[in-house]
Amino acid sequence: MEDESKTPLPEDHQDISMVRQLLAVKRHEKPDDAYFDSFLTEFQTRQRSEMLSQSARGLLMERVGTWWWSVGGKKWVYGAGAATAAIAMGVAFRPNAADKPAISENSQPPAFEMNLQLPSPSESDLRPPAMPSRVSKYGLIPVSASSLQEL
Amino acid sequence: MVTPNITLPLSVAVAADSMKTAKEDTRRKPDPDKELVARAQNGDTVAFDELVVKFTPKLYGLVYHMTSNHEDTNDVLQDVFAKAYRALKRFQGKSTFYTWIYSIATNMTLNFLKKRNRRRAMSLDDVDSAIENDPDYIEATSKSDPVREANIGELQERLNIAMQQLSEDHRAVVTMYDIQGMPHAEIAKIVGASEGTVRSRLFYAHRQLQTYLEDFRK
Repeated sequence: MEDESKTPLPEDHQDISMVRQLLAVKRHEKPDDAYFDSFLTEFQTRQRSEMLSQSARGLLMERVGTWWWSVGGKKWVYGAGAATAAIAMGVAFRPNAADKPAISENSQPPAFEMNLQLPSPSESDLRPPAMPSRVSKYGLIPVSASSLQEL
Repeated sequence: MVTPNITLPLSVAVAADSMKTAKEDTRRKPDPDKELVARAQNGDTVAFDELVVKFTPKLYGLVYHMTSNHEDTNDVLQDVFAKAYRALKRFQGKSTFYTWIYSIATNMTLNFLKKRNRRRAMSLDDVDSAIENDPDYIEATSKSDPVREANIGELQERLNIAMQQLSEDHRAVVTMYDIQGMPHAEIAKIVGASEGTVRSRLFYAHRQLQTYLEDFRK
């Protein structure tokens, strides 16, 4: 745990002010003006040598990175992400997409349909069966007394 | 719903407008380096050179007082400007350029110090001759016999050793506040902490330094 969490104690102001005065004196500790004059030249030289030592691929990557940033690379990434998500949602929630099999004009019928080719019914098959000649117009068959006795 | 059309007297409207502007001004100061930065972002290398020249002495102070070593300071500073140059296109002006480059320098120095093995502090031989006329120095020597008796080089070395005893985070805030005279709010922005944390770090750093510089008390 860092010491910031401790409760601050009262300071000895006189001692602290002397410490602060001594620290303030440190601002005079700096190199002479010649150093600052030559700093820029050294910086430029270092930059140039860095560029020369860097590989062509590295330079290309750096340039692409800078260009990508300047055209708002983030926006493009977000846009592409949103478009991909929209397409994915569209595919996933397409109505009856899973139920309907794809049918084309040239597609063959399923195998079970191919093997069941029954002959077409003839005219006689479609005609209703003939009524017996003894049937009355009410659909009842007349019965004689002798036939009842047999029963 | 009909909104009542209220016409304010001109003086009231102007006063309200000026108050709004003043409020915005206090919230965000204009960046004095805006033009140079814009030119540099458009590929003007001379503009970037001007920024380097302008900020080198200030950043040198920051890095030097954190590392206490001139060679290290030079290397870190070169890297700071190289990094700033590469990242300049990404600078969007949400803070001032000054705060932005100070943050880069602070972070890079802290990273450097974490990697660096404890190396002996190598103080600069050059101390500005203006030190003898500095009011803080005059007052410190008037208060304390040991300070008066110590030569400037010795004093400088003792201060650097004491500074190196502090943690990197504490050293950074002491450098910015006590040596460079930056306000708490600015330091808080640079180190990415609250003002309370900055004050707290200063408090404990001062107490530690007070112990390390015990000999300089009367």
